[in-house]
Amino acid sequence: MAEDRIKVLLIEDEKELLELYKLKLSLDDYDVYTAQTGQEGLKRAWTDQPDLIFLDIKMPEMDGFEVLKQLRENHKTKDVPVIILSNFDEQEMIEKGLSLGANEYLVKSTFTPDEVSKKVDDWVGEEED
Amino acid sequence: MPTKTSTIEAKTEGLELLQEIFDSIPNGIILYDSKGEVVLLNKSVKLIFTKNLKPSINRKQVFANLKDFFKYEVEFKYNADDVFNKVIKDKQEFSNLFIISKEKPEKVVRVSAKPFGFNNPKTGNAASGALFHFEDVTHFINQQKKLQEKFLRTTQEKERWQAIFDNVEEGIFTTGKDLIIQRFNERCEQLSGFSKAEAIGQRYEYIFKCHNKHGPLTLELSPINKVILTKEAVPYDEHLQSTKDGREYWVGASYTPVLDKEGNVEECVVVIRDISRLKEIDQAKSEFVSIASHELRTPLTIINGYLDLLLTGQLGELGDPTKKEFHKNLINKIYKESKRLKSLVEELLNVSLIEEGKMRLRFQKVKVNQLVEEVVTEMNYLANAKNINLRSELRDDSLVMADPQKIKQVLTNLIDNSLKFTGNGGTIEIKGHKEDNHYFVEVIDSGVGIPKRLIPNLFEKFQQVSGSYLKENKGTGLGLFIVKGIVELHGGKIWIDSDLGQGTTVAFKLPLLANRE
Repeated sequence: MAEDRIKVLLIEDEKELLELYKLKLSLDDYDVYTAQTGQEGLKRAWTDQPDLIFLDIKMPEMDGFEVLKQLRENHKTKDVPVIILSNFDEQEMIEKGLSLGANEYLVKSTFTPDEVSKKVDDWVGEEED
Repeated sequence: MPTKTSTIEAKTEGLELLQEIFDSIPNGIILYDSKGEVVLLNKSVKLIFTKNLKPSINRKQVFANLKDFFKYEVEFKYNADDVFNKVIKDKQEFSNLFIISKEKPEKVVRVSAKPFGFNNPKTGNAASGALFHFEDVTHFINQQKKLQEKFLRTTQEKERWQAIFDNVEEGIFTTGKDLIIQRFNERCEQLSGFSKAEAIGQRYEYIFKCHNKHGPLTLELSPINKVILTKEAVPYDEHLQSTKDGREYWVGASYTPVLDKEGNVEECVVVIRDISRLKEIDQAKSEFVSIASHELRTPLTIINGYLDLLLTGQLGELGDPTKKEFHKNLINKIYKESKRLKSLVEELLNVSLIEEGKMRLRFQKVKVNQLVEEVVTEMNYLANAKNINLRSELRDDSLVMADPQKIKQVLTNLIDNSLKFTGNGGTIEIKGHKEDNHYFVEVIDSGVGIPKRLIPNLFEKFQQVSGSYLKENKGTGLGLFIVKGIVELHGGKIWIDSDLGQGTTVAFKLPLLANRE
């Protein structure tokens, strides 16, 4: 049964944010995996093969851009939809994220948890058509 | 009746014609015989020497007159007799003796003299004498003087302008419409790395290699070319420039065309300024805003996120007794984040106040050791939770002028940091002592320590132990900036001693109240 559910990986170092999104995504019947560091996030991405990854930028030791680079370099995760969830809204950040291969860049504070969750539908749904 | 023509004809012969010509010569001419008697003299002599001269006068009288009317120029080494004798006896010629009148208006006369042979009209024999020419050169001398003065003034003006040109803060250079550099001041030398000799006569684009964020500015795209083509000034343009040895720096430049009478561009004047420092400040400000925004959004996202979920009923009905604990838990989270937001706003305001120099301190006489003890008592609870031994050892009297709230803020912050970086079972010791008219306070922990290379930057904004804002996990990195600001506003100093694995000591000193009692 767990195999039917869509797998979402949350890579976010801020514990309370992680809890918030995990709560909402679980309510919406997604199978939620979490990681609080970039390193851990990569490991989970390659072992658990999620259907979509939400990725934060500001994280200790390895930031989101580095994680994204490595995700795209690896054949297992080069095509998985990655949505950057960050509170930086600078043009340079957005451009960098998209140019490194992110599918979308969301500024966290401008979206409700519901809107974030709906993004999973947008990106994972397409693949199955 | 004699007609005009016949009058001329009548004078065609003889001395009358010659006399008239002789008198029309503007130079005064006198022919003396060897004894100094005047043989011939023309009317101009009278014009030059203002007093009446009778026709039959001798040299001495004329020169006597000369002595009356003229003082001798410094170059006139000889007196009149010497000159005369040298001409008669030594057959010497003089051509450039200048004499100046004693009376005003000043008159300058150029005197030339030469030996002269003639037939003595009295005796009919051949005689020797001296022929003197007197030329009124007053006007000429005055003109010369004026020109000299003008030239001097012009030279002085030019030197003054040159001095200004070479001493201004801005680089100023000019090019012709052919974009060859004509003028190049000292500041341009400093900014470009090229000397005046190298730059003048050289093509503009060779000396000033410009680019903006899209790439190199080719000549077609550069502002100076636009000025030449459109005849309009470019009041301000920012771009990067490379020096002779390849170093890049930001430049603010203004370009102004100078037009000739027909309205064509004759030259272009450019003023450039190194704005690297301004750019740095600008960038620092942008970064601060970026980081501050990010920090503020994080707790806001959590607060609004949970509120949205609760209020839209996604987490059940509010008031549903089965959800009571769950909802209470979430509301607590919201509360916690709200407090976090509040303290962040306080920090940002503190930073702003410190930067603007507007932080208001309420100075009073306080004993530092008393403040330390209060803070230690307040923070013991936190220390105990981590099994850390927090204690103080304070010697000496410590009366200072300080804002007690702010000093307590400093102490709280420093102990907080120590708690963060010290593991279970560690120690934090606050030591205090008097030395050198200051009270020294040291916060010494047995924690993980800080790598030496990171220490110089720790008091800057957003600086944290890992050295990179993107990679840090807790806090804003503003605490130490604020602490330093407060200590320095008290006239004190703060510094850190630490190394990886060696624990950390943060120390500050405050000036003691001068003991007058």
